[in-house]
Amino acid sequence: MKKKILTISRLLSLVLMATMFFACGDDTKKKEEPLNAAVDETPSGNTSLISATDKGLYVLCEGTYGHFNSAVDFYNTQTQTALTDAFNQINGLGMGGTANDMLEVDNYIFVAVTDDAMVRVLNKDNMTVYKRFKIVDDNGINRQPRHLVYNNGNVYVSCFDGNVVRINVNQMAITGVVQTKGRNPEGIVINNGKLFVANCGGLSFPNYDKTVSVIDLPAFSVDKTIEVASNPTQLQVFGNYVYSLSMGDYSALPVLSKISASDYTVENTQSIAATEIKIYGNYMYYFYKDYAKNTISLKKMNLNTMQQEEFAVAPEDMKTPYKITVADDIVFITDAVDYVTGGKVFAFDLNGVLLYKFNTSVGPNTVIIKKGISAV
Amino acid sequence: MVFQTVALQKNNKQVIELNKSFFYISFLLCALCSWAQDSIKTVNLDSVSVSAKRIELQQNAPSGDKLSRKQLEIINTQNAGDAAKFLGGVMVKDYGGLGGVKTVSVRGLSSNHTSVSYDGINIFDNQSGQIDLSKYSLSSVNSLSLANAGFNSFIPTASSLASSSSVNIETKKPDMGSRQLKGDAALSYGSFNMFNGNLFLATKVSNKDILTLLTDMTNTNGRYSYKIYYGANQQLSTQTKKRENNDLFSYHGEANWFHSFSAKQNLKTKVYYYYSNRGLPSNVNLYYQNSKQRLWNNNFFAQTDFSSYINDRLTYKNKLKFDWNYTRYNDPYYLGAPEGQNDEYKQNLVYMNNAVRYLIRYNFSATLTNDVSFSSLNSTILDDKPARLSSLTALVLDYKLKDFTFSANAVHSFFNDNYQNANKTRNYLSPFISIRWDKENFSSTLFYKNIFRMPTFNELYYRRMGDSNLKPEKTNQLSWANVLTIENPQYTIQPEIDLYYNNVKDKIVAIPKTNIFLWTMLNYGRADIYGIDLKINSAFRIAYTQLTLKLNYSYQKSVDMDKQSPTYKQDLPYMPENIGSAVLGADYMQYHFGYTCLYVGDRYSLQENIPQNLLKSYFDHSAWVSYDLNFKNKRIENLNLMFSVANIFNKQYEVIRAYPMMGRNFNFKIQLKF
Repeated sequence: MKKKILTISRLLSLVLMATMFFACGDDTKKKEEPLNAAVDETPSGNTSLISATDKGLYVLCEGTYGHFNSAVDFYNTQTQTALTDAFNQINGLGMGGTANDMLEVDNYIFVAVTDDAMVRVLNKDNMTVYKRFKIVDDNGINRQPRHLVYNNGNVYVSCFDGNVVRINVNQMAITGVVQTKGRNPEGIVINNGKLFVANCGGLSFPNYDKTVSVIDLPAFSVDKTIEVASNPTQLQVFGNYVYSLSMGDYSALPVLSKISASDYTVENTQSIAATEIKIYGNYMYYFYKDYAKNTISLKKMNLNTMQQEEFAVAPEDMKTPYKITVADDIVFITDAVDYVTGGKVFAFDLNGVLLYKFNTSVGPNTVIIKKGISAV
Repeated sequence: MVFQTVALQKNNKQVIELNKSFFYISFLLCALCSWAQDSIKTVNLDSVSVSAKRIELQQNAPSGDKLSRKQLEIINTQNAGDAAKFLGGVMVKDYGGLGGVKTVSVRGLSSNHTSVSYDGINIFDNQSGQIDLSKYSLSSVNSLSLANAGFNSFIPTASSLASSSSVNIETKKPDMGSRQLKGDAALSYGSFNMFNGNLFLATKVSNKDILTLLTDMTNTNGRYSYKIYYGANQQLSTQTKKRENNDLFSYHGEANWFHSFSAKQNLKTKVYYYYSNRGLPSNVNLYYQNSKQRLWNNNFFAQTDFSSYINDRLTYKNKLKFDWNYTRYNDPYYLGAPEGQNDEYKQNLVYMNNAVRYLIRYNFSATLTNDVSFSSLNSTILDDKPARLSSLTALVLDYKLKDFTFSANAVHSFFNDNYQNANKTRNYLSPFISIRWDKENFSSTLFYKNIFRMPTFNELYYRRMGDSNLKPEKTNQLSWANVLTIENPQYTIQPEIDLYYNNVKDKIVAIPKTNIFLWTMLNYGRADIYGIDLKINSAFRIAYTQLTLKLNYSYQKSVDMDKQSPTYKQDLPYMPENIGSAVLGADYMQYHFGYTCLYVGDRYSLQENIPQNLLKSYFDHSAWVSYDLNFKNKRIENLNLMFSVANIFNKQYEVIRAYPMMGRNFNFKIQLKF
């Protein structure tokens, strides 16, 4: 008797679940991926290499294609020592291939690893692994996760397969996927409660995409597609505006477009000698390497006056500036050198004074400041 | 390497990646090699007749190496790429499995510096410049030889002189005797559903004509196990997985017609066809593996080789070839286009060699040899169809004075490339000089060679990346080879010690320009390579057992000598300091036994000599036993049953980073000789 009741209740719950499932499907009319929970991960290395009180910088290094040597380094700012490939030593695990972006969310660090079809979650205090998400489509094909942005409990992942994947941080689960209606989404930002995604179309040279998609967050659907210059790869937020940087076909200077985040019009377009931009305060920091003259210019632009000025003189040992991170009034410029051997990070204050520099693993792209919890 | 270059285009990210791989491939370059055969005196060390079956030992060109039919049987591999690992001074880049691309790099020089010829006529690949030896089946091959400095025959072609080293695949020649029909047929089956069948037939059509037919077919699913190491600590977190999308089907058929007009005039004609269809498993990611990439090859060529000994002083040779090569690459998962990526390459080539050798005095000869070729490439990855007209001319002089032989040659190279209505002409002159000393059974040869490799069509014209103004990559080779031959009724033993120094200038590498999405090819940097090759070739007899033993050991140091480089004075990628091999065969009555061992030392997969880039050394042991069943029927020579185990200790290793090799595998073969 008891057994029968159990069976019936099981059946009932199945029916209930099925109903919920169908109800959901009707609701959104989008093909949603089934709730995709993360895989737990356990570290198997020296987990006490970094302590919660240590202050320093996490540096994500994407490595060399085909070598699966992406790494996270730790630079201890108190002792001024660099721990290269700290992630591997701590976890006894490789980071995979082309770790393209890293984002701090609460006590976690999210890492998008393009070639390994994953977003990995680490504990910020000691860089131990916590969870791993598979970023694949219904057929199990790599979506190629590229960039990350956080908003209101969710991490959004732009994927080269034309989608944005939503990960809920509390549930630690993938809760939605939306097509951007553009090709090869790359840069991704939040402004005015909307998600802006740059569709670069970089995989279809020479027919690049030239759109920025605006995605409504509650509905999780595309509101509008804005046309900008060809091959937009980066987006930055300034007040009520989104700036996009379009690389074009690399034969001419990139193009900077100023997009209104309220009516989605492109208010201004200008050529700019910049291959990487970051907005912090009232300034946009950027750099450009002229390969013909073999010169590097590090610049900043006052976004209120659009006045461009020199930010700093490029240090002599800077070879191939690659990415910029600005945080806590420090401008970090990474140097990829030759993309095959170890890179460097240069830290400047906002006035362009070089504070310090250190060596990293191959291809450093993102810096996160680990403030460290104060020792009791 | 086609797929690698194909991959170049895959997507923007992968363009980078491809570019990166271009970068390190080019970086791999290295050194060169050595020497060659003395053209006046050809020592025939045919060996020691001790028993009914004679012990065979073949003479190598000094500083080169040769695997005889007997040795190839002991090595017992399906394709030339796997056998080439047993040639002294050779490093084979192997992407794993039967379908994995295998290219040869000699004495630290990149694969582009080694030419490959099939029965004496070069195989050309202007697109990537590298020949994949996995495409050449060994079932009907008589010998595989390596010549440094390009001499692979008595009267060389200019093309073989125009590369740092050359590998020649020589197919079986019929020795008909009084027989009308001769041949062999074999079937084998083994691990990973590996099936192989081959047939060799030779028939005497008339006293002046012999026809041969060679054909073989291979099929495998290639699903072998490999271990994946998630962390630097190999003891922790490993998992065993199956290699997927690693299947191969290949077919090769060729017909040869040997015609002799007279004792002094001979013509060899060959018609060759190869087809393969294979899965490309791509490199092994830690957390994602799902490749559906495929590669199809179709290759047809026809060639003739005519030689005429006009008189005691004058010899004339002519070679002709027409070659059609079609390659298709497909990746349905490519994200740049809804239908995936589909690349095609069609190369057409016509080639002619004319050579005359004239004996000016009994001790002085001159050879003039010229190669003309025209090739064009039609590819979906290029904006236009590049075409190349080349004419290589070499004058070779040999002079013998007492125990010394002096040789010198100069190769003049002319290239005319046409691309997008622009013509570019290049002219180069490359010298070679050698001195050889022979005393009784000892021979010592010193040579210097200066040669270059032309940039490939990919390097010159690849979209956005190629630079049509690239200069060739130049190499200087210095080599000193010493060979001693000890012959005795019971044994023949031939130890050899070679010292060499190579350097490479104007290396062709990919450098990022503007940003990581846009790379360009540049002439940049230099590398020095020096090393020692030790080789022992021997054949001997103990009681009723005949033994064949071949040992190779190479020490090599390949160093980045570009002062601007962040890795100045560090070892170049994929250049191990130590390589060794052993080949041992034994024949006793109807029983036969073979054993091989291959050792490759530590090396780095990238420029930086750091632990993360280290690829660990490995030993790969293989062995087989076989038994001959004899029949009373005189028409049948014997039926041989063979059982073999490769990689006996199931060693997990990689030759190329993230391309695991096969573990232990078994094979059973039955072969009928008639």
